[in-house]
Amino acid sequence: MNANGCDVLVIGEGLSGLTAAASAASHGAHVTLVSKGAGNFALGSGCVDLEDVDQRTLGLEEIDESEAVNFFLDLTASAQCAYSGGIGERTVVPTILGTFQRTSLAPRTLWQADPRNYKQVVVAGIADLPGFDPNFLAERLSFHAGQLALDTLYRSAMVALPHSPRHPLTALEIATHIDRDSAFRTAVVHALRPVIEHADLLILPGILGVKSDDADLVCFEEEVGCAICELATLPPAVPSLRLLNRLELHLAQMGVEIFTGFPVGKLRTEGEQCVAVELETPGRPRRLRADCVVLACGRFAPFLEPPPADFTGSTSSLSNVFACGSLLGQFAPRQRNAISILTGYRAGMLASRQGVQYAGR
Amino acid sequence: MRDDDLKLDNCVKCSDCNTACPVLKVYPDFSGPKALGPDMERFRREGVPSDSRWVEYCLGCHRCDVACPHGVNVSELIAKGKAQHPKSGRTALRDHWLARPSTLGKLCSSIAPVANAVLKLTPNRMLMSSFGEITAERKFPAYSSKAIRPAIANHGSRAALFFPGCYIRYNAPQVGQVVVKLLRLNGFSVNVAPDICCGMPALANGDTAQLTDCVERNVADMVQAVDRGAVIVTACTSCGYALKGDYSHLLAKHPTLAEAADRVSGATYDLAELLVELQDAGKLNDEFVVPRRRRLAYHAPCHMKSQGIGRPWLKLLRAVPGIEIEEIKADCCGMAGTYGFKNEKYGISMDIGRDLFRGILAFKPDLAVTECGSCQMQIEHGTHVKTVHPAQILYEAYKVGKPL
Repeated sequence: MNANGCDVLVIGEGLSGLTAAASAASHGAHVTLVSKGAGNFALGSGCVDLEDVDQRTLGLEEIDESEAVNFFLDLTASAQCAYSGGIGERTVVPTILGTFQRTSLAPRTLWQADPRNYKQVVVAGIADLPGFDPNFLAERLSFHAGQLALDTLYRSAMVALPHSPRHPLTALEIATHIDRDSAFRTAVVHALRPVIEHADLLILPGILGVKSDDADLVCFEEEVGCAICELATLPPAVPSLRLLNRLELHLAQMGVEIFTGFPVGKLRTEGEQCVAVELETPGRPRRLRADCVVLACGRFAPFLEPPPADFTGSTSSLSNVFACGSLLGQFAPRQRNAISILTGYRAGMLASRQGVQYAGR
Repeated sequence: MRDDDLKLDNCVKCSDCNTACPVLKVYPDFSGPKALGPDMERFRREGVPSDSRWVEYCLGCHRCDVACPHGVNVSELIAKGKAQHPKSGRTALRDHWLARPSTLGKLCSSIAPVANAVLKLTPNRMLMSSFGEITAERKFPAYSSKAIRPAIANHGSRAALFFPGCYIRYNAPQVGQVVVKLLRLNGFSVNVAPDICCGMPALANGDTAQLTDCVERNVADMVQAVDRGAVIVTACTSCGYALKGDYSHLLAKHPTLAEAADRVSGATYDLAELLVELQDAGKLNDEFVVPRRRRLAYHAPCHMKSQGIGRPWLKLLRAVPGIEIEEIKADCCGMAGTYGFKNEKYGISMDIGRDLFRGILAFKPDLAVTECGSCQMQIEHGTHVKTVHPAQILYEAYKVGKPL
C-alpha cells in the first residue's frame, strides 16, 4: 500500500469540493483533491442563487455569508474565469429553454446578458449543430422579456462554420477546434461579424473553447465587435467544462494535488478519527493518509454505506471529517450551488484549522 | 441482455468520456467513446448489425475509463467491439503480427544486425507501407540480441521478478539492465520473467485469443514467484497496466487461474511506484553523486495515469540534486503502441501528439523523459529531442551509475 500524507483530503470535484480544496489551501493547508470524475457542476450553467438559502438549517450561523461569497469571487477571478454578481445583487439571465433565470452570481459573460441592459439582441445558431435552435430561443426570449415588461427584441440568425459534412457538429468539437486552430477561430469571428448588425448582445451556444480564459473571451468579443453570452448546451456543456478546467489549473498552482479517476473504496478509521482514504486503483487499493477529510461527494457515494451517524452542522461522528454540499441534506435544485459554495468554504476552513502539519514541508 | 456485465447501465450520457478522448479531439469523424462503448454495446449484445469500423480508431489509452464519473468500463466495451470487428486482407495480416511483439522480437533479435539493416532500408519501408500497411514515415525501433541479466541475491534481500515486456527485452535491454541494477541498489534480488507478452498489443489489435493466451501463460508462470513472496516489477507502464488488469472474465474457464490472476495483479508494481514507497518510508538508497545538471521535460504516459499511482518519477527525480524536472501537461502523445505505425492512423497519431511536441519544445529541455517505450519513440519522432526512460536518469545519479 502506498503511504502518502496531506493535511486535508477533499473527496469530490463538484462545486463544493473545488471550493473546499481552495479554501483549505488558502488557509495554509497541504491539500489533496480526489474524485472519480467531474461533478454535476460541469453539466450546468454555473449560476448561483443565494436567495432563500436558510443558513440556520445548515448550522451555518457561524459563517459570514459575504466572506464565503467574496472568497468564491476572488477564487474565480484569480483562476481567470471570473464570476460577476455578489451578496445582495440579483439579475436575470437567459437559459437554453428560452426562459429567464434569476441568479445572484454567474460567469461574467452570462451575467452581462441581463435583458434590461439591451434593446436588440441577436441569437445565433450554428448550421449542423443540433440542440440549439435560434428561432425557438429568439421567439421565447422576446416573449418572456415582454412578460418582464421589457421591450428587448431578440432576433435569430444562422451561421455556417467550416466542418466535415459527414456528421453533425457538436459544441465540444467546435470548442476544441477553437482551442487548437487559430485559423478556425478567425473563421468563427468572420462568420459571426455579419450577423451583429445593430445588436449590442450576441447569444451563442457554448462553443468558445474549453481552455480559454477571461482574456481570450474578451479578445473574442472585441474581434466580433459585440458583447457575447454563451448558453449551456446538452452535455458536455462547454462553458462549465471551461470553468472546471480553469479552477483545476488554478488549484494546482495553489499547490493542491489533484487525483482524479479512481473512486474511494473505504475510509480507514481509528477510534473517532479517519486516518486514511483508500482509492480503488488497479492491482490494489492506494492508501492516502490525511489529518482531515472533507466529504464533498454528494449523496450517492457507496463508501458511505452505511452513512456516518450524522452530519449535523459540519462534522460527522468522526471528529476530523467534515461534510459539505448536497451530502448535508435535500435541497431545492436552485439552491444547490449556493449551498455548495457556503458549506465548501466552511468545511475547507474548519479542516485547515485542524490539520496543518504537512504544510511547509 | 445476454451479458451479465451491467456497468454500461451506469452510463448517464454525460459525455465526460468524449471530453477526455484524444482521437475525438483531432478527428471529429470518429464517433467517440460514448457511442462506441456503452451506446453500441447494446446493439452488439443483441446481435443487431451496426457500423463498427470506428472501433478500429480507438487508441486504447483508457482515458475514457478514468474520466467516467460513473465507473463505466468504456474502453473494455470498445475492445469487445474491436474483437468482433471483421478485418480482411493486408490489414488483418498486419494486425495479426502487431498483436505478437514477442514472436516478432524473438525472431528479429536473434538476427538483430540483419533485421535492423533490412528494417532501415528505404525500399523495404516502402514495401512495408504498400503491402504491410505500415507507415514509411517512422523508423522501426532497432532490435538487440543482448539479454537482461538477473542480479544474484544478497542475504536478507527482498525478491523481485522483473517483467521487462517486449520493447525493453528486445529493443531496449540496456534500460532493462538499469532497472535490475536500480532494484539491486535498493535491496532486491532480481529474476527476469520469461519472454511472454503482457497481452496489451493483442487487446489493442482486437485479438482476444492471443490476449487470453498471454494472460494464462503469464499468470501460471508469475503466480509461483508471487506465492514465494516476490513482487512483480514492470518498467513499461502498458505492461504494468495489463498485469494489474482485471482479466477474470478471460479466465472464466479456469477458476484457480482466475484467482491466481488476482494475486499476481495485487503483487505487481511499477518500478517507480515501488521506489517511491521506499522513499516515503525513508528507505530509498540515496547515495547520489555530485549533481549532473539536467533540465528534463516529463511526459506522463496514459497507461501510467490509468494505474492511479500519482507521478512517482517526479517525486523520485526531484530528490536527486541537480535535476530540474517538469511535467508537460498535454494529454496523450498519440502513439499508443502499434497505432502510430499503421498507415491509416499515422496522421491522427501525429495530430494528437502536436500539443505535447509544442509543450516540450517550448520548455527547451536537455532531455525528455517518459517511462513508456512507445511514447519515447513518438516524442523523438515529433520533436527530435532525445528521450529516455526516467530509470536511466536515476541510475546515472548513483555513484556506480554510468553517464547516459
